Amino acid sequence: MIKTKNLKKIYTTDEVETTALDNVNLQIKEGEFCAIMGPSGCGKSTLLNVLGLLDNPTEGEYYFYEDEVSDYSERARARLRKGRVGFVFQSFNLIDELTVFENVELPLLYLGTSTNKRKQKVEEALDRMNMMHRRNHFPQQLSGGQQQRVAIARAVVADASLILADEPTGNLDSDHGDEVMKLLAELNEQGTTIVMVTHSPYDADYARRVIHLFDGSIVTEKMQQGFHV
Amino acid sequence: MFINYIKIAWRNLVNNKFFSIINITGLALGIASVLLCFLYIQHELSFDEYHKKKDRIYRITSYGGFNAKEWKVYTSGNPVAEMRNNVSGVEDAARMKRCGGEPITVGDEDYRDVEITCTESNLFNIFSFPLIAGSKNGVLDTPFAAVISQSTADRLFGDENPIGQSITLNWHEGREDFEVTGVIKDIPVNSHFKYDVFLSYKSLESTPICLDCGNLMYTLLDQDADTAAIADLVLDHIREIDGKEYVEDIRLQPLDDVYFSSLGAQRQGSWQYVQVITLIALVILALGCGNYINLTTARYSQRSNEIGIRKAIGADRLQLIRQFLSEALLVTLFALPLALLLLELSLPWFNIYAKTQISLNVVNNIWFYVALLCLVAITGILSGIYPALYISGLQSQEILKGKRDIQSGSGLLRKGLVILQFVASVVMLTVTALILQQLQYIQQKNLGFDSDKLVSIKIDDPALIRQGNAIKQELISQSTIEAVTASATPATGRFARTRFTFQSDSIPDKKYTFVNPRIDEDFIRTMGIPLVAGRNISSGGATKNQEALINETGVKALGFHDPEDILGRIIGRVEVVGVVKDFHIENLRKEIEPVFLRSNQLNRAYFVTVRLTAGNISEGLDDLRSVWAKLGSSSPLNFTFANDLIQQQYEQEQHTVWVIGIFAGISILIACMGVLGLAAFTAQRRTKEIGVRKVLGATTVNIVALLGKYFLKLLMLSFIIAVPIAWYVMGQWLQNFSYKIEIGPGVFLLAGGIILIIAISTVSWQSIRAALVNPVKSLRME
Repeated sequence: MIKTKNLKKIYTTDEVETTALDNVNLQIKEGEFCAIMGPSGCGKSTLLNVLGLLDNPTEGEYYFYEDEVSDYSERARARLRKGRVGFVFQSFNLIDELTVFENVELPLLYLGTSTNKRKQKVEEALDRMNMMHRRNHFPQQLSGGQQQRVAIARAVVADASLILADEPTGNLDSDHGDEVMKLLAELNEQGTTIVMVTHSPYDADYARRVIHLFDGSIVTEKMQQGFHV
Repeated sequence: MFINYIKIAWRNLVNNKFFSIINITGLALGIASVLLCFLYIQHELSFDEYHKKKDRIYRITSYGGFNAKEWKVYTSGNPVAEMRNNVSGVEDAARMKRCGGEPITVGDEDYRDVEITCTESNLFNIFSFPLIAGSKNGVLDTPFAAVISQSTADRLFGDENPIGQSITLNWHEGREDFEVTGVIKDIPVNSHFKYDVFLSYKSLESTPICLDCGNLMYTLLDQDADTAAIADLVLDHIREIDGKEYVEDIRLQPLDDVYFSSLGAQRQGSWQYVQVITLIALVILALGCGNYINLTTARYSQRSNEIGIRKAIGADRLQLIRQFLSEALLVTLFALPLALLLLELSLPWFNIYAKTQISLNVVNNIWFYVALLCLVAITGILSGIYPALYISGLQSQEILKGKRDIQSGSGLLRKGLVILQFVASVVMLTVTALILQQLQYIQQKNLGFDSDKLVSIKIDDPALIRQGNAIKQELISQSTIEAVTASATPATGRFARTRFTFQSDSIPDKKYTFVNPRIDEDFIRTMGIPLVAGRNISSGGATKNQEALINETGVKALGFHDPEDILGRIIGRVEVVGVVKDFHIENLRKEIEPVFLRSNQLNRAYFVTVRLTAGNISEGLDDLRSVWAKLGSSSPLNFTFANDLIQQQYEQEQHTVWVIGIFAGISILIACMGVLGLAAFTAQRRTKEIGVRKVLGATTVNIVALLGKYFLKLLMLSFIIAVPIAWYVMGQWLQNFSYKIEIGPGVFLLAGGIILIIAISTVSWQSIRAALVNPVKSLRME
């Protein structure tokens, strides 16, 4: 599903050149649950952005399904992303001015889904996340855990086959964090590929594969059972 | 999708009330200004447009003259008969001539403020002045017939049928009765005419009045008539049949050009004024849009998260552009009702100060709504397109990663817009101040005569006009009256209408042209004009020889250095007996010309000018009224203070200063709102920085200075840009005046200072608020 070859990402300012990713070779198959770990600044989020087609690598190849997309334009990447990739962020990133329902509806609006179909899919997604009763609330009226469940609903509403989660439990207490991780594991069991960046070894244990990054390079890769599941 | 845009725009408006109010008010002021300007231009362009045959109507203008040669609208009226009968291409022609005078008497009642002219029935065929009573054919074909306007008919006769009724008015040297033969609908205000009473031209034939001079001529031509050929025929007639060889050229002026023509009409428009108002309105709209762009791009850094998310989950650039343009259009739509309200409230004031009669009755006009929609669309797009393009072009991962320094990208534009606002404010304020200064200069300038306590009386009663000396005698016997002079024209304002040219004795080819008013022996004493050499003219009755006074400029024009040298010389059979100090006979736009004050022996007093003694003016006026009663005048005392007459010459400038002053105020208001919004935003954005600085020991003053510095720099730059612009504009305007102020640095410093104080107060208000926040709180907020 995803394959990178000698992926490099270099940030250049006037004086400093920072290598965020250095020769990353990675392959993620459909249906995998993969955790990316490493200390702050090791390039985890950069890797996630490249994998999520939000950013282009500086060098190397990136195959998204069959397409080599490393030099795709913003517009082409946006087209590819639409409906296939869902994002879950540490800080939820819900739009404050929109209600729960409207936030979840947004990806479908951009896909041009019909009104009836939209309503049906949003309600399904909210139901799955057990958030139907909060559909008319605004994000500020919800707890952190609830907000993240809405964010996950938004990530899955368009039937994305890949969910990229950037420290999804980073802003949550352990109970809510666990709840969110269970939802992600459930989605993975239903066939969604999940790539998750995390600091937490506990959360990483939900994944079947754990990749450790250090200074922009993969240092270890470990397959595991996913013992919380 | 569109509903989603509107929803989010609406919630943004509601959640950010402060910025929304600034945006909506700024745009509303801009839209209201443009609408006002639109109505004004529409009003100006609508002049004479209502005539059904307007495209075929021409005014005949002539070039030439005995002395000063110039284009004039007055000419011989004689060619009309030939034009009507023998000239191909001419469908009709009509002449008009000043005649008759107030008051109009019906029964025992006198009526004033009526505009009277003599004309022919053909005028009603040429122009669309619909007759609502009387027969169109030959309505003015008999002598002593009158056609009056509907409102005049109502005024004079109330509910009675006006047809066949008699009106009495001043006629030649007496009073005359005219029979009302027709009533026309009132002439619309957007007309270069404003007559209430048309008398039959034939009535003039029994008077000794010169019929082939001083006529206004209008003609109605066939669609494809050769105007040049017709002009030549008219010229031939005037030169050969009327014998007026001094007329050198004739042109047919299309009706469309009459209102804006510099040759004059009863109502006259000014293209320059239209252009200035259009420019100002567009600048104000730009300022309103600038505010929107500034505050919107500034606030996008707060909305960056939303934009990042939208992009991450699939919004493409076009969708985002559509979203932000929808928001701008929505804000503009909200501004529209406020703009219309502002327009409704400001229109009466604008009409008073700009001397217009614009009404909002265009609301029945579909084009008004089309223009309104276009204006909303243009304003919305102007305001929204840059923010939309800019923000939609940002990379989503940068925004989401927290690289939210969006403002740095649009910083240059924002600075540019703030500078534009400051420049516009400084320029308009300076222009207003300089026009005021010039008006004040005019008011305070020594005109060479003493205009205080000088009262000009217009004599309406034809019987009194011939009794100049008797009136003077009666007036001077009053203790409150110091001096009296009688003249044919008002002694201030439009005093001299004629020029007098004579040949030089020594240099045969040299001609001298002098302004040539007729005066009596009391003129210079009444006016307070000092004699420089010689003596005053002697009283008109005492000598058969005419005498004259000449002014200092006249002495120089004739090539003399010493005024004494000119005394006793005969110029054009008139002896120069004295030289007076220069005085301003015309307004200060014109330079002082050589003046030849010739004694008036006709004992006619169309105007009497009186100097009241120092003391109680109301007593003096009471005395004037009692003398008037004693003289048995058929018309009441009709007087004006000389100072008011002088002021009337600068009405246009006074209107201009009001209009520009109002617009300057609006532009300062918009600029300040913009600065207020930006200052609030800057303070908000730098909350953390302010907190850290305070923790490290910065005082409130330090913080205010920190935030104020940014705006101060922009203001300084704007000032540097504004000064030459204002300098140039005012330099051009002041060229209209021969006597004018020097543009000094003071007025610029004053305007800059005012804007500086307003801007710094605005910024400080927000900065102090930010500086007073407990740093613990501001750091926690971050």
